[in-house]
Amino acid sequence: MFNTVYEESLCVNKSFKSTSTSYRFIHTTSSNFYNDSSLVPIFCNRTSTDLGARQLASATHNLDYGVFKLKDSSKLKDPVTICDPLLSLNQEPSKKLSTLSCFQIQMHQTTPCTKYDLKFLNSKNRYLFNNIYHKRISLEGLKKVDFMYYSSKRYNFAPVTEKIFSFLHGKDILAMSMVSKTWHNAVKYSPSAKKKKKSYVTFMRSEKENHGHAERRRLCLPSRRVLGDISNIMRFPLK
Amino acid sequence: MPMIKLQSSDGEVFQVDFEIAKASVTIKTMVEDLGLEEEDEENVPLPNVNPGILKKVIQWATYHKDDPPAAEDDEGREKRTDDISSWDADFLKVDQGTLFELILAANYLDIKGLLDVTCKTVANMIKGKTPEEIRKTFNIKNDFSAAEEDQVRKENEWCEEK
Repeated sequence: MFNTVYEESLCVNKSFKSTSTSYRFIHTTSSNFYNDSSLVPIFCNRTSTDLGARQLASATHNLDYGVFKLKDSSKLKDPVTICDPLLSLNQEPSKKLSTLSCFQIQMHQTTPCTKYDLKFLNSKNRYLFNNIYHKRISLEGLKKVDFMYYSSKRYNFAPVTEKIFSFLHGKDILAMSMVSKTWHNAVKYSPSAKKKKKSYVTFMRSEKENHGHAERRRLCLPSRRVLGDISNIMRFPLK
Repeated sequence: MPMIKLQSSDGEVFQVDFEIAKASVTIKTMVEDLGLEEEDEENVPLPNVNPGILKKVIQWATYHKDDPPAAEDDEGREKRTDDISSWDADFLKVDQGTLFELILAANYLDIKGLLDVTCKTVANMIKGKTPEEIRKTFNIKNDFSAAEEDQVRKENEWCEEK
């Protein structure tokens, strides 16, 4: 059997939009933007949670803000140039939601970089194009899928893993945590799974510590009866 | 009977009875927010759902259209996984890739009943198995280093079966 691992397909155009990209992707590829191009992040007016805003803010915080500039704000309802997302988070809640809560980011390569030769630049651009845009590929038809690996690649998949954990017993969650690093982390970062695992380990520890005594007690109980251990009574009939 | 047009990721359009489509909270909210009417030619775009999966979701929703609304989750209660109906069990006799895509679609479309039953199926695939058996079931490579494996084993040594 082949051990096939399907990586997430990544593709990008010179002008592209990402509406469902996990903030992790922005975060991991952010260092590649530096010196490569001028990037124009444009945020649209979409409602979301404050958590989403914070995640985006933390993702964009590592970007080099010097290379960002506003492209064409006239077509957009509420465009915002990133200066410091953490500063923006301190705005009043309504403003915060209208600016940072969105997940639409548009980037354009506007200025060529003269620092590198063309060959290097092309290869770097190719890398950039191949790594920025997280496009979902269908796993339909695959016989075996590492659920936790692909779950960790999706944005907002935590409710699903939590639901799967809710159907499992502590013993199963313990086994899951020993499967691979991804599965271990899935258990580690899920409060409910962690709680179930901990209570199971605690229970098993107490069981093992009292193992000998508990077992002996259990063996005695069924045959225990009044004067059951007085052998004389058993030996002589009452008549 | 009011119909609604659902557009999958590749542009294929599925015409569905609105009462069936309402199983999805996402679609219901979208229709209400957009104010779509019966005679509207507008499609409801579902860019995260491919046509094969959307077809299956519609099939599931059509079968379950008369079901009572799903009860809210009780956090503290241990949930059962052996109460999957025979129709659902047959419906979910699919490869793991399709099952994963169905979970994604159910999560995105916010269909509680479908999400519950698909997650139960995954939980049943894990239940009662050792780590090695789970690896075999899902074709997972053990990527723990020797030191990490020792550490994990040490943490859980109390629970090892003898």
